[in-house]
Amino acid sequence: MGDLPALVSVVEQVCRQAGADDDALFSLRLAVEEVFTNILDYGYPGGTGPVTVHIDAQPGQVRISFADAAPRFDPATVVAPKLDVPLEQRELGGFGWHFVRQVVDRVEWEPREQGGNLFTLVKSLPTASSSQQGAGINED
Amino acid sequence: MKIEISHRDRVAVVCVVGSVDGTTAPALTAELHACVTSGNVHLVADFSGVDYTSSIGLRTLLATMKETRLQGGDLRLSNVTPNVLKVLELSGFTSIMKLYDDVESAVGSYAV
Repeated sequence: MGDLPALVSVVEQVCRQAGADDDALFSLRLAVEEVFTNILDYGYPGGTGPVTVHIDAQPGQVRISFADAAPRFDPATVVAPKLDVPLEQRELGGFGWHFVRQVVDRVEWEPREQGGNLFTLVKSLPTASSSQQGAGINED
Repeated sequence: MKIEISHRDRVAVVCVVGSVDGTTAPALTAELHACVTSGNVHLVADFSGVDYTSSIGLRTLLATMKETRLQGGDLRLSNVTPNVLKVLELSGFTSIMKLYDDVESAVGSYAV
């Protein structure tokens, strides 16, 4: 979890260079944190393990992928939280993937051949310039 | 993240500055819990300086709301910024939390 600020900083820098506005940067930061923390909190007992992040920011679109070595997990199986229930019936968790689906255009998932998961977030950007960069985050 | 607590009559005002994310939320959770366990169950969180929160921040708010309301109190928010409001709306929290434009209104709401 200690790598989160560095990861967010790289994502914001690369996406800003690709023309992402403040709204898009907020959405991407939220989506990246939710995926990253979900992997660490639920994928790895003890909360640490390898996560490799790749950012591909092109004019008009950014793709951010997360490769882990955690047990296979398809985020499409996550049930959307109930948003209209009173406080007493609210559960403390369950919003992570809900937020991700709300703030990016597409969420892709595929199991990796060697084990683990590859999550990819795709979001359209209203812009012109381009940038591409890979970033490896190893959370050990 | 900076957290400062002041008291106005029976209301504790928790002024938060910074981002509420996976690295900072535990400190905020601990401060709010300490407030409640020391007898302050009427809380106002001044979020004018909070530019970002993720789902873990909501977890903090929800846990504190439940804890305070069980004891006859509440956690109310003031000065919520657009990004934080967006997260509250995405989660349906705007229907269960009381939001105010400024600290004075939030503090005053407990007198009603």
